[in-house]
Amino acid sequence: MQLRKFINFTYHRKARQMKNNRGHILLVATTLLFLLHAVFAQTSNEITELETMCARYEQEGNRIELAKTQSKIGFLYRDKGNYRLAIDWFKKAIATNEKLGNTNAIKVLSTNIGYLQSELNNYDEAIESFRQSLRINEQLNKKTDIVQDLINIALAQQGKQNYAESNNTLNRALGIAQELNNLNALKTIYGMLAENYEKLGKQDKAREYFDMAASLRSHIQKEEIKRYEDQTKKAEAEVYASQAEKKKLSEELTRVYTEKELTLRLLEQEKELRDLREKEFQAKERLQKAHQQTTNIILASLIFIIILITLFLFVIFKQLRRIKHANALLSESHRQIAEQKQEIEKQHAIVSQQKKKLTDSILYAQRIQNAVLPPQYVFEKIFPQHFILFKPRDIVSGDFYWISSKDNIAVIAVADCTGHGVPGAFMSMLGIAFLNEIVSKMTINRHIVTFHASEILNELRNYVIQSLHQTGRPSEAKDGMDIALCIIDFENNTMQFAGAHNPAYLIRKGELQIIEADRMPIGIYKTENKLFTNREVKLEFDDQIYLFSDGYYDQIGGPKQAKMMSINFRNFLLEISHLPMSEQQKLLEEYYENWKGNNDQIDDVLVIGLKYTQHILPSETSEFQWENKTILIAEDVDINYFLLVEALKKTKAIIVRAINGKEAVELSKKQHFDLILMDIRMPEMDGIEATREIRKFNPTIPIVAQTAFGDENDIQRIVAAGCNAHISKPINLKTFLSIIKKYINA
Amino acid sequence: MESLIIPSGQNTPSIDFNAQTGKLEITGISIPEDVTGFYQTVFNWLMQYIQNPAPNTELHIHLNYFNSASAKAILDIMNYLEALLDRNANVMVFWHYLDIDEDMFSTGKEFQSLVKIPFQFVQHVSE
Repeated sequence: MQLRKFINFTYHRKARQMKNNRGHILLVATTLLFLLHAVFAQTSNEITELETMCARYEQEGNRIELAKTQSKIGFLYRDKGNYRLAIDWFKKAIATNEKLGNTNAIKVLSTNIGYLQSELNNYDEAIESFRQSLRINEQLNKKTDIVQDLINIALAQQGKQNYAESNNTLNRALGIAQELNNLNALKTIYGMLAENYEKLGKQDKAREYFDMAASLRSHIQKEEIKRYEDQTKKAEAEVYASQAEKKKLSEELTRVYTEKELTLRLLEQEKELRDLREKEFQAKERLQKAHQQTTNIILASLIFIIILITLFLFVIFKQLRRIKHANALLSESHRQIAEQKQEIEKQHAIVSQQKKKLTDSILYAQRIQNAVLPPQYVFEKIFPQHFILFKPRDIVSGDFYWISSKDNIAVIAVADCTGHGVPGAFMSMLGIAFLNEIVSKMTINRHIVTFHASEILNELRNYVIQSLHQTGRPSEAKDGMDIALCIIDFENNTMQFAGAHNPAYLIRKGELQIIEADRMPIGIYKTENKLFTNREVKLEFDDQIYLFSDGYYDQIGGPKQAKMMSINFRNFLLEISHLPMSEQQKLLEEYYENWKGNNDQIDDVLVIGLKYTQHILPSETSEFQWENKTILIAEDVDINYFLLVEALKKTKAIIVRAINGKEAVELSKKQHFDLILMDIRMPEMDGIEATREIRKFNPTIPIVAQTAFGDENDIQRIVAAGCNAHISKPINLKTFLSIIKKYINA
Repeated sequence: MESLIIPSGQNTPSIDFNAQTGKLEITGISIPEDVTGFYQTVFNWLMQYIQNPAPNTELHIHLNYFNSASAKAILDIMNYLEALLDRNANVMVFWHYLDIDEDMFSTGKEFQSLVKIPFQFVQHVSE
């Protein structure tokens, strides 16, 4: 049964090793049996002990230990072969882990239950258990584990003889395994698909998948053969080393012989010299002894050599057999490899074609990104002296810059999205779109919304978190961006700054000031509820402001192959700050390239320099100048009245307030007004009745009604009463001023 | 349990996690193209390690540069080790940085604010 493949009982592994050492099989088997017996006896005792501990943990409410012990018991029962009890304990452990919210444990336990249920042929229960693990893995997005779960489910479905359903499951697994390039999983999936199709009687499909499985298997085998060859080479080297040893030994023997011969000759000479019988006898005796020794040494050497040769023969024989086996495998796979080579060449052509398509489409994406980034002339208009140093690492960039201006205010941002290349570029497009929306909303309603740099970042963070559906779960991607954003007010000579990780530098008269950023990103984060800090700086003419991402000073290179670091970046900026902006850009680029040398560019690079100079913008409020005009505002709610006053402040019109309709009528009898802004819902006398009253004695004065409603009935009643126009609350500043302009000058 | 040793690559740091002494070191730069692929081995090892940790665990971060995706991986490593605090095991992060590298120092400060593990900052004098 294939299921066994997934159950890692240790004795299975041991059994496999035994096959390789057939000679020792008896000895090992006996030992193993003895060990197993000992282990089983111990298990029963252990289980009883653990069960007692469980009861104690339950009483103490120690769920962590309880869960651990319950699963331990389950595993012990499983090892004993008592699957039903094992399942019961695993289920108990799951229940405890659910209370602990320990999903990883639940996953492992349900997978084990699934295996055991399959072993018991309870396939439906097995599938349910595997699905439980699958659900968890899907939540955690653990793709490798998802594939395993799906294979397990498919196996159980196979067990149920539900081959079509099994195939559906396998096809799901196939997609993910291909994405992961998990060859072993793919091999299993193809093999199972083939089996299923064969059972379903679809021989063509079955053959197709068998072939695919076989081709994967031979690929994996090829790797193994390579490993085998390496081993063989190593063994050959060992043989060679032993031969050298043997040579050394025989040389040693020759030397011993020569020595002996020398001794013999000396003895003979001695005998001749002293012609004495006793001494001759003694010498003869010595000679005999030496003779005996020599014979012994020769004998020992011979035996040694024989043993050595036998050993060599044995090793060489074994090697030859191994090589022969490997060769057979090799020649078989050679044929398959040749077939595969053809296939690979075909695939290669497809891949290079696809690569070209991909590059083309990224190049096109680059055009879109360049179109979205603000054009040079927009910067030129607001900052005649500026530079933008922009060097994406890949074709498209994760860094971006953004500018917007309205009246005498300019908003500039430099951002760095997580990652670079295509993923970074996606994020940067979102960032640009969000900034456009947030800032345009704020500028339109400047009279009712606080216009702070920090507020823009708070909003931007909300947009990013909401649109990426970030919830703060630990497994999800924490994508987002770092950003430096400033609002420059040319009327009040101030700069507001807010930063997410990225600070700004301000150089004034040869001194550099760091405007710090908050240490948190735009995106989900631990301190997500903390608001960004708004910093305000007074500006002087010729101040130089630098906004940048960290790609410039994080570059690795230089004389010591080290990071440039922000301190060197700042020192260099100071060094060149007296030069014109265009010159600064050139030098910054040179400095960067020199530092980088032959190293790869590490990240996208973006540095923007702005010189603060006298700024003359066509003032949009200039067309709304009513210095000698008087406007009566009939409005009972204070906050609404003050908003209207704020909105009209720059027009320099004189403003008079009536707190209800009755007062409006009385005031307009006594005094000349150029226009009346009439609220509709007011106490004492509402706006409609007041308008009717005023029209009785002054048919020409422009009356503009303001209403929060806007439905047809209200508008009709307003017009019938004699109002010239109406505006709906909350008011849009530009529309509001345009309507007033239309009537006040008439 | 066995120690985890990965030599440094062109874009990856060297990993030297010793299960016996509890000294876990990450050294070099970390800018792998596939960050999850590289750090998965480390996470797997840690998952086992926290089951049976050394009495004193020291995480030495000795990095010159890492990209934002690696930053998340390093935070994950610290989050794994945070689990040891709940078991009353000793854990400490040693954040090494060059005296002139204020960027790395402030990044360390940020990490410190994100985890419960005590930090020790180790300044190295640049040559």
